[in-house]
Amino acid sequence: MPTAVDLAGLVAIVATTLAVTRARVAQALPYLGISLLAIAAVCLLLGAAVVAACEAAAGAGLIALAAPAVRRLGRETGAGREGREPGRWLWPSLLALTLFAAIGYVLTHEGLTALAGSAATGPREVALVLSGPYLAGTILAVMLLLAGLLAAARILRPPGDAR
Amino acid sequence: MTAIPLADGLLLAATLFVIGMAALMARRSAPFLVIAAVVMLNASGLAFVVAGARWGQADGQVMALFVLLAAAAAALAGSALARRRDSAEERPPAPPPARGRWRFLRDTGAGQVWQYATALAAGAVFFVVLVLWW
Amino acid sequence: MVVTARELPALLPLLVVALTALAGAAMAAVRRSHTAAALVAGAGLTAALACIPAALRQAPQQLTPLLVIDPFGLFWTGLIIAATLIVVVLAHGCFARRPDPPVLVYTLLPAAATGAIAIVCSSHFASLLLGVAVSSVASYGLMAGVTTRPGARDASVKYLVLAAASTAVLVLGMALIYARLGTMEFGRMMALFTSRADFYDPMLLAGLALLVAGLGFHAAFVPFHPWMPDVYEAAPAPVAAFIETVSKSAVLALLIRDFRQSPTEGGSVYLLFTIVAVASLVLGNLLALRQASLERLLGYASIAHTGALLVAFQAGGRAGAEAATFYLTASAVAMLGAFGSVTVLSSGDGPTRLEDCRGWLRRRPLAGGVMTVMLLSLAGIPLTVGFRGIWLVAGAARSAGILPLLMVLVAASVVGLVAYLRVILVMGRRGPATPAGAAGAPAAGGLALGLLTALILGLGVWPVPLVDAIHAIFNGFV
Repeated sequence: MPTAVDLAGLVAIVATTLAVTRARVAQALPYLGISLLAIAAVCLLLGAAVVAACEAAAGAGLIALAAPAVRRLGRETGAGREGREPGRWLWPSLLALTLFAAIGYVLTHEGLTALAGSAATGPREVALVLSGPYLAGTILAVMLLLAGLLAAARILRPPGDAR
Repeated sequence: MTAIPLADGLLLAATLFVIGMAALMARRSAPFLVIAAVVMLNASGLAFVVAGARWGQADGQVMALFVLLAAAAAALAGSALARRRDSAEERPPAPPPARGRWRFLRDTGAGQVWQYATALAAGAVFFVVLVLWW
Repeated sequence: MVVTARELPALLPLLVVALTALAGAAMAAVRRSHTAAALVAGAGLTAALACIPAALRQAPQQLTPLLVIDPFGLFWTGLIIAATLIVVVLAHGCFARRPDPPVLVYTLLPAAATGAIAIVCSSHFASLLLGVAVSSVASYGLMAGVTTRPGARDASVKYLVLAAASTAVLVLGMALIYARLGTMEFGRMMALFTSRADFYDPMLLAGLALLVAGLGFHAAFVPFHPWMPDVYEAAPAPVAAFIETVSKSAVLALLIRDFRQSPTEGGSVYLLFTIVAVASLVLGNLLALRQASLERLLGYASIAHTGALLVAFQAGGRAGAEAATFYLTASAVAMLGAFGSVTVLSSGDGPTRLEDCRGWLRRRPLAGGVMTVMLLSLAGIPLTVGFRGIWLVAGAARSAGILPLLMVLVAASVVGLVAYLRVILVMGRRGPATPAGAAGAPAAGGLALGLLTALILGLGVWPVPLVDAIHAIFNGFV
């Protein structure tokens, strides 16, 4: 199990480094997605299933976002079908496979219960805490999302639109 | 349940954090600056998960969720901002470069993100070193 | 359920402000009317202000581990809501001239105010983090979405990225402290600090340093200050007024509340704040002297004021905390008035260069007079509330025996005085024949500015009510 965590952590570091050193955003997004997935794996192996799920959702969303961006990049650079060229996805895929192997190893050797978290830190406990002591935090989190959405809406308005 | 030492987990978080900080100082384009900030926020969230696992409390996870949400909101606004192009009249005139040893005292124009990020990083490191050394 | 109906009044100000933001968002989806949006925000904020007496009757009260509603928090809540209300009035006057007035501003302003209220009432890392995040994310929208000035996008990117990065620094500091102490409640942390000898543990101290650094960005003290003049230069004046009086003051109020009694006298954190105070005072005032634009000058003035506030903070004890609270209130009112009169006086298309101020006093004697009063208060001239503030801070520093800091404060204030007087002299000079500014202040904006001027002069002559109120606030603490 510690080996799996180390492996996932290594993937996180490598993917993050690659993400921030790319020349173009479209190249960086897949690595950023892998980085988020790797952090999700670390969280999962540490017993934080809820956080892992949210991180994984963010990472998967980023990868979904990256696919069209990479294709557009291929068109913009005039390199024909470069976006669908397999080489661009090689390293992200290898990193993702490493992650998959790490989690798969834990699942096959220690079973699902190993990932369920202890009684005090399981998903149920997190949900209870969120609606109990952290109720005010939940209200503020709603405001945070609202503020983020409104800020983005305001920034991206078409010119001349009173929004 | 898992015997991951606290120091190892925090080391991983700190490494990711430093990668983000370095990117913030080294990169110039808006999308990569947003990516760097998101990497830093995620690293801090991971630190909270590790700390929560150490104490066996759900609080660390809750904090990590809030941090993730903050990162998402920042990424949302940041990507919106990075997509927006300046119209011609919004583009700033190139500020005259301020040079010389005392330029920080003469500087009357806007600086660059990397300069301020360097100030942020240097300040944080200075604070930590000062507090630990004293 | 943790919040019962009996405890609800204490939470009402926060809830009503949050609901105002939600109502504004809902209304913007249905009907995009600039005036209606401003009216809804104004009505909601007024209602929230009216809830404060009811909340005060319930105080002090711990509402879930996250929030503590005590007189200190409610005092700042009231100031935050009132400042937001004035900013709404100013923004309406400022943006009504545009062909596409920004309606969502009146949603983002209450949203950011919710975050600021959470900061001043926080008793837990979670509410502090969320408060900082909400107020900074809403400020990105205010900053980046509204401005049309030169360099707006650059300044917005700068603000957004650095605010997010410094929030990350803050969170890392919190995580280290939590990893060491196992609690995120300020009260229990303080108890652990005082009861245990291993306070000088590297992880805890590093966490504390990162926490202060992360907050330092939002409070804009040296070396985390340089974003502030840039942002003020690029933001519309009402937005700059909001960031200055609400976002910044909230973080400083939190520092007053939570570092007031930390047992670090003579320790490394104390040294840290001394260095920061001196650097902010010196750099802020010296650079204010050199600025060619009014907004940048006010930005550096704000940094210098943070430095002066930290001097009171260093004086420590109850006198220091009271002086700091008074000083922060006074400078927030003056800054609000200064940016407010910039809103009325300046054309609003770009940063106000100093030569643009020529003739303001002759052409627009009323608004120019307000600006003069605000600058005099910022400089700490007698008969203004700024003088009383700096007097209290100096008194606290003197009785605490920190004479070197006091001397720096006095010397820096003299330099600052020159910077502010320079602006007033330029304003008094004969200006260009064609008025460049907008014609006339809207009635509501004029009323708000008049109120602020009356506060500055009234409390300058007779500060006893405010001093008594602040004294009563700290009765709850001791």
